Amino acid sequence: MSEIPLLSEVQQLYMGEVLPEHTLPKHYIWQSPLLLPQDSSDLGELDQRIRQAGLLWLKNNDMRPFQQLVITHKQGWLSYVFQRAKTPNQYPITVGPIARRLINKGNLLSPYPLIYQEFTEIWNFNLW
Amino acid sequence: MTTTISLSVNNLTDFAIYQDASQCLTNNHGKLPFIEILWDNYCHLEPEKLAEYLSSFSDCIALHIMWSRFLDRDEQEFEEFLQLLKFHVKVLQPLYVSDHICTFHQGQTYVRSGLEHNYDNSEHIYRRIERYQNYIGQQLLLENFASMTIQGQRQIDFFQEMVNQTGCGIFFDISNARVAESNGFTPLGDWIQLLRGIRGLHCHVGGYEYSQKFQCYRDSHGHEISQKTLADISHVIANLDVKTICYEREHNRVSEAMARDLTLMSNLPGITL
Repeated sequence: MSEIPLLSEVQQLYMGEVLPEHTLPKHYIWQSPLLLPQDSSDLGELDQRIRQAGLLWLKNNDMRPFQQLVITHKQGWLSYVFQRAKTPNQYPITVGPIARRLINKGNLLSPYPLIYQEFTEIWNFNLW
Repeated sequence: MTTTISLSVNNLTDFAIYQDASQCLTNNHGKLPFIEILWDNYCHLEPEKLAEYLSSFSDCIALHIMWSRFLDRDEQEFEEFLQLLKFHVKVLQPLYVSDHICTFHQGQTYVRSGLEHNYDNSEHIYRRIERYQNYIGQQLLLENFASMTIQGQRQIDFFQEMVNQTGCGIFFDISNARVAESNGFTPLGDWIQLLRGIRGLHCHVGGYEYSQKFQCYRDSHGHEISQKTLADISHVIANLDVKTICYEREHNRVSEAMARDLTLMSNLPGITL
């Protein structure tokens, strides 16, 4: 469980140029790809960043006691759902982009036009 | 003291792989003497459910924790972590709880894996360990680091003082000690001197590799157990009072390769199945 950190690995986490002395707002590890401002109108870039954040959330280095994360665009019709495995031999689930606004309220993911909510219960997509 | 061996079931997703790999260690009832989990990957579950799932392996569960960041967290975050862990400890009654003295920050940014602590600000470390132990109501075991950087020179002295100051235990990772020695830091024999006389030690072993990128040995958790590690295990068992040894494999999870490692370990003198 040890690695000598390379700057490139830190930049991989944040998906951008960031130095150890960089001043960043307090954040969860999973939010790292969504901290450095980029062109948020580039939906391809936004998609990559949200997916990376979701993967980090699923990995759960923040030790969050939740089963599901929903990220939704504040203005656009765009959402992502990430669900952790709940039973043995099950894989985590990633759904998105979905052309719906799945949550209306949530925590801001500034500087991106995104909000998120974590849930202790997962949604059953078979019922949709 | 008889030494039992088992393995770490790192996550829920790959239960089948671990079940196949551990066949050689199970008793007549198909159970292992204990099972260790990387709690990070299970902390989102209800502990009752977790105990139910793990009962297919064993009724005796040990908790290993990697990303608690218990030295890095602010007070509120530390409290949140402790509350969640305490809830699980109360239900699971673990054989042991083990964690790491390391940091996950470089300046204000997170890094992707734990870095060896510089061992400065020892009072802060001691106070955090004391609070950790008081909260969960049992001794905390702290794992020795597979040193790759100059910080490794201070590790063993710090661990000795940390044990004296806090009453915590040392979770002895035998292959980490081998990696550190190979990188020019504390010889494994010095750890044996330090640990002599401690009753019922809990240990880890795993694979390591020589990294061209870093130009040193590193703990990989993805390679087979080396011949040196097998010899080290024998040496440790012969000289220390070892209760358990847990095998870790986080990457390249192939049940046949894991079973081979576990069989080699189980055939060593002093190991009881």
